[in-house]
Amino acid sequence: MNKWRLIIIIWVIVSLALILASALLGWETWNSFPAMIGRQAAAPSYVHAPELDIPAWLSILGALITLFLSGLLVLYALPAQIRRMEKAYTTGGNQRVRLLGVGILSGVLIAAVGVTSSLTMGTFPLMIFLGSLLFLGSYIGYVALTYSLGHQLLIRAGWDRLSPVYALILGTLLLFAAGEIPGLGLILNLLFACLGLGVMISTRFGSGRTWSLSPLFED
Amino acid sequence: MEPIHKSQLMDDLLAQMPGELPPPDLALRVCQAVRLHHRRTRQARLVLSAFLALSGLWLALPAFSGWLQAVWMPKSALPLAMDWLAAGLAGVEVLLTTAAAALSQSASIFTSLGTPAIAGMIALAISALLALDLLVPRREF
Repeated sequence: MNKWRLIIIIWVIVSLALILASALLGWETWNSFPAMIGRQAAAPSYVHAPELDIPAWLSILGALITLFLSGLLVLYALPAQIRRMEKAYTTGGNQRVRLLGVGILSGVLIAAVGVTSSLTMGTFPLMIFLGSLLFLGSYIGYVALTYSLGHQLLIRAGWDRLSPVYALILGTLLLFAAGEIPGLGLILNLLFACLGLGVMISTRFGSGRTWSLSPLFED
Repeated sequence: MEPIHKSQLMDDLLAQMPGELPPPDLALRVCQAVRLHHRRTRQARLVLSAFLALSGLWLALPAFSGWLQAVWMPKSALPLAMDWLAAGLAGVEVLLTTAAAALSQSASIFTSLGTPAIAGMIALAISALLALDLLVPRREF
């Protein structure tokens, strides 16, 4: 048996076990940071509706299915762009570190411009626009990351003839499970989001063109 | 006698001038000068970016650490969605009230942040922009 097939099978079992544990034990990935520093944050004043007591397993299952289905939509809607982003992820050397750097810096830039744009009423809508851009950029890049991970693993295992949907299922399952690890999951999710934003910016929103002002100099 | 054309005269004069070939290492020197200029620009940007990043962090971090401690994420987004839906169904008046509440929330955030934090954010933004120019790949995928 191919070594990579074994690795994939073990990794999938571990991931499923992590998701199951998170669902049964009710691990809270997102609110682990304030809890880690010994402080429980309260809901902001503009939230009026009471907190709903949704079972953890339902919430996790819903998130996993939503991620997969919306990822599938992105895959069908932007196949060429996802292919280019995968190429950017799989380019060797220190490319991934560079993508991460680009993602973090772009996040800082967009967040800073978004926050400062709300200083005046005239530029206030920019905050909503930039926030949406930040979220969508990170999300589409995240889908490309899940697909890329799944596809690369399937290639190594000799299952590269399978439909790209299997690559997306595999990648989504592995990355989602990694994001469910208490404490570390939050950091990993931020890392994935930064990588996603980095690949979106580096490939110029999946177009594959470079960032340049040279067209302005052309006659 | 045929009149001598001005351009002809100029050609003759130019032909009589001592020939001056370009030095053989001219291309190399030009390349080196361009490379040196590029390296100096990169270094200057890197230094400026690092300085702005450090000063931005120094200015903004004290105010933003409070934000980090107060980070709140609901277990599910349903309460927020229900709030928005209720506001949408209740009509324009409630929608405007909600928008006004969000704006006043934003204003109170800025009051709590203060001017140094905003200056720090601007410094961080410029620093990120300068560093991005160095990091973004210049080839097509």
